[in-house]
Amino acid sequence: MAAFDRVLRRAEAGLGVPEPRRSRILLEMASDLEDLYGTYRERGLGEEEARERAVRLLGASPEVLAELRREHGSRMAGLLDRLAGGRAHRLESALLALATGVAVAGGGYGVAASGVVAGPSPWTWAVLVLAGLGAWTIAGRILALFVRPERLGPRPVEELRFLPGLAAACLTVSGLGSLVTAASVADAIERGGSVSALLWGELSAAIGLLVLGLLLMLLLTGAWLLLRRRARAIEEARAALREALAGILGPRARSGNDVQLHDHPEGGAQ
Amino acid sequence: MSLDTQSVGRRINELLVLSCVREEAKHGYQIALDVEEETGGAFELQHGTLYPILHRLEKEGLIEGEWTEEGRRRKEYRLTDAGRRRLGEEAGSLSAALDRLLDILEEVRRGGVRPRPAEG
Repeated sequence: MAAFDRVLRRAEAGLGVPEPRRSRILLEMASDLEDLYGTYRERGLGEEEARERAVRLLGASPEVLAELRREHGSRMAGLLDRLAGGRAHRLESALLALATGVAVAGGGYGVAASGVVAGPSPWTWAVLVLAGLGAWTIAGRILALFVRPERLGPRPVEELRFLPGLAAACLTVSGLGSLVTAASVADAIERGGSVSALLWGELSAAIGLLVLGLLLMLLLTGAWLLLRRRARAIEEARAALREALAGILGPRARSGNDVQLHDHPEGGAQ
Repeated sequence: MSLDTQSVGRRINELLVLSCVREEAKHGYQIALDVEEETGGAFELQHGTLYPILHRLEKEGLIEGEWTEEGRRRKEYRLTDAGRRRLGEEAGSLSAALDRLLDILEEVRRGGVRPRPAEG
């Protein structure tokens, strides 16, 4: 329906609220517009009048859109709320946060005690490069998922799939590095080196490298689980909005770009 | 109890919305429609004014929004216990303040507009 299409595009362009709230608000507006139009029609109003009255009552003005932006715009509160993932997931999130905290504290102590960071081997550098790549990617995804919806692609969940890959790579590289280092200790012992010195030096570095890899794997996996939860919520909200809009805007929207409102957040007229 | 005149519009809007869902859960469009009809057209939540009110009340825990699946996804709102308490309090304080305002309006209506006393 062209009149609702314009109203929803205007709302989408002016809403500026992070996903998935934006899709949910648009879905609510679209659904209400359609139902109100139907109610007016049942009461005997003509198509044009029913449409006009529905838009007058529920078609959000720029002032209302600005108020909605303010209402949903608290980034930190929104971030915490979304990380919590709703009431049902709060316990799970608290346990995850506790486990991550323990892992970070314990792993950090282990790595520092082993001296792996003080004298990094090529293996340590490789693990740190992988971790840096993961951190950079996570920062970009957090920005897109929580603050700048226009940076999101059509499949937010798929865009996260390399994170578990990076986590596995961290563990693999650190594991290989540890094995190689441990093997060098065995060689040195066979050649008659000081066992106690080697144990305190090379072997503790090998263990430290392994702990570092484990720690980074935990962090990357934890970030992936949290971000994936949000990405799933966004995909669900988008799918529901797409379905509702297809019903409201008609068959034209099902195959065309009209229904992909969420894919053009800043340019409703695209 | 005094009433902050700057907030009176917002409080009336919130009271009207809370009042609409006091007996049963309703969708947003039903609330907008009911506000208009239950007040005989005296109040109308135009241009989507309803949504910021609903979302603010939901954030404050005074109403609870729930998505339903009946052919299409719709969001409906119900009054929470906190909302019921707030409705009672607001009804009391607003009604006392509006009674005073009505007294003034009635006095003005009965007396008409008094002519300004002649100067000098």
